[in-house]
Amino acid sequence: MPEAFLQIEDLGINLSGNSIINQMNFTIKKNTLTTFLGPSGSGKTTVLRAIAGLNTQVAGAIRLDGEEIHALPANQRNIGMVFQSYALFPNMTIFDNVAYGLRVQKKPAAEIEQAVMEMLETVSLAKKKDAYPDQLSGGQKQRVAIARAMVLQPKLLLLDEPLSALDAKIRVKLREQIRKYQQKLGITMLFVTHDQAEAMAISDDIIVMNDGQVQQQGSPMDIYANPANLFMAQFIGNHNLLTGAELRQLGFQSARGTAVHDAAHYIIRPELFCPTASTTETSVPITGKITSRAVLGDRIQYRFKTAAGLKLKVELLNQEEPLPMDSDVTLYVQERTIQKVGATNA
Amino acid sequence: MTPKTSRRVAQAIITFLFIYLATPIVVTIIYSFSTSWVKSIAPAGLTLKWYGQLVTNPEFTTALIRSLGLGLLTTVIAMICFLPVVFYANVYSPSVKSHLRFITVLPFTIPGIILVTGLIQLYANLPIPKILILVLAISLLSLPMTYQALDNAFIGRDFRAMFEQALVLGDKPFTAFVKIIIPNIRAGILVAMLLTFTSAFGEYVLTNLLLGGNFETLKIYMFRLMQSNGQASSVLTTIYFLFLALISLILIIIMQRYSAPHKSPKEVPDH
Repeated sequence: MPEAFLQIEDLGINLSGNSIINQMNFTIKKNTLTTFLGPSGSGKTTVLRAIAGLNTQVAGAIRLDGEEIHALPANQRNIGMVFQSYALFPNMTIFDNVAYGLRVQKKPAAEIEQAVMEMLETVSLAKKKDAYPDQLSGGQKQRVAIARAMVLQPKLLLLDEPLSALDAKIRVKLREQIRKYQQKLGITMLFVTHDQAEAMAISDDIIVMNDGQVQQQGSPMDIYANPANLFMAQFIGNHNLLTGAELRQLGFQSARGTAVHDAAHYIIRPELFCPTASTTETSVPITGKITSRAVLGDRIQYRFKTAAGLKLKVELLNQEEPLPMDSDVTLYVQERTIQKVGATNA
Repeated sequence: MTPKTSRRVAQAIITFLFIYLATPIVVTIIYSFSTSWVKSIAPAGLTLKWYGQLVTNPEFTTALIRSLGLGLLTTVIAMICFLPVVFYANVYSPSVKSHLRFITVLPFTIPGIILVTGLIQLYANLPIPKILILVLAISLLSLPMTYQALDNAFIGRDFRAMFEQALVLGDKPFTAFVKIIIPNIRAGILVAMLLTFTSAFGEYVLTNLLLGGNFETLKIYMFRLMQSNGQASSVLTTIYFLFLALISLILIIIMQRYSAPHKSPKEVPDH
């Protein structure tokens, strides 16, 4: 396993006398794209700014590539950052924006010209080098901001919700491009978002935060399938969260071969309901009525009320006739797909 | 009242107001060129004699230099003191702005005579030159205009992110301020400078009460001249009016030139 490239140790951040982050620990690996995911106000941007050196009321240690950086000012950390508002300099052309950091480093003009043009080619904006930021679309501005950060070849690139101001289609396109740049240039990126789909789509690793604490860190699949606690079970995906007693009520005596405990919590993922019983696995039939139906395009989302009165979320592929409303329907869930909250059987 | 009638009434009121305000200016300008204008509708003749006399008068030249110096010094002090404060309040501590707004309107509420009395009592026994007290006091008096013009310049852009971005790109705070913040608020700075300069250039109450005849500025000279020579006083008023008109014209040009963003010649496609 590669060793930690960025190491956050007992990080504490106070803003205006309020403790925002307390004793936070996490690491990220080199050449990976790690996402900070969490609801608004969870402290994601605060931590990002502390790593960049923009929050100075910081306790604990921040190590980057083995070097203690928490005492260094922002301009000596060799960290790039892309702000939510892009923060392009309106008085400069696109070329000058991208060249800014290289000029601060007093690189020779020919070297600056070559590096900037290569980077503008990478983000497909070489033809716009003489334009001003006001003349670009939101997506183009965002790519300039990324190019400006990447041209300095920083050890770590921080992106603070860089796609949040863009419309849905451009977001999807640009997040794929960001991932492509990261893999092509081998940059270690830490990406802040509150959009789960975005985090799942592009990350090697996801760190979920809430109330200034890391709730869970892992691969997208691990985070989705094995929530570490109740917050994770409620925050990630669209899971059905049930107590052991409710699970027994549905007919499950065990989950993944382990007896169901009444006080424990379990999740049933809505996409793991089947309209037919499995011939090879142990499936439990659940009978009830469909109370509502929403076509999401490729999937249909149902609200399903069991005979015992439990309300469940169900998602099936939109490939057959939709399930009938208000008549008895039996759906099947395989026992091995039930996941206990906090279990580590990934 | 029909729309046509109300439009005519509005036009009549505006025309009356224009004549009411413009007549004294026009008459003063004509009077400054007149050889003599007593008990007649039109002046007896036109001449540039009064302009020649005034411009060659060393008292005028000295007063002009003093007013220009006072204006420039006040402007420089106001910018050095207030620009960093307005930047800090807008970028790092927006909550301070409500207190700042309160402080900046204080000069409107304190009459000049009270301010002068307070300043004299406070600094009478201290070895501070009165001219310095005057410059600082005028800088404070210009605060409402200076602050408002600078504050407006920070509206509409995320200056904090731009400044921090420059730091993250490796720049030092001072050079980031000079290279990123100042060029993007230059219109506000220019407007603030012109307003501060104009207000200091035309200051009368404080200068007269604090320094009086020992430091005759253009405004004090103008009032003295009014009592002795009508034509010369008109010449000075005309020059002063043209100077203010020029400043206003520059302000309008600045506002028009810098308020518009860079226009795209055509629709820019997104890749």
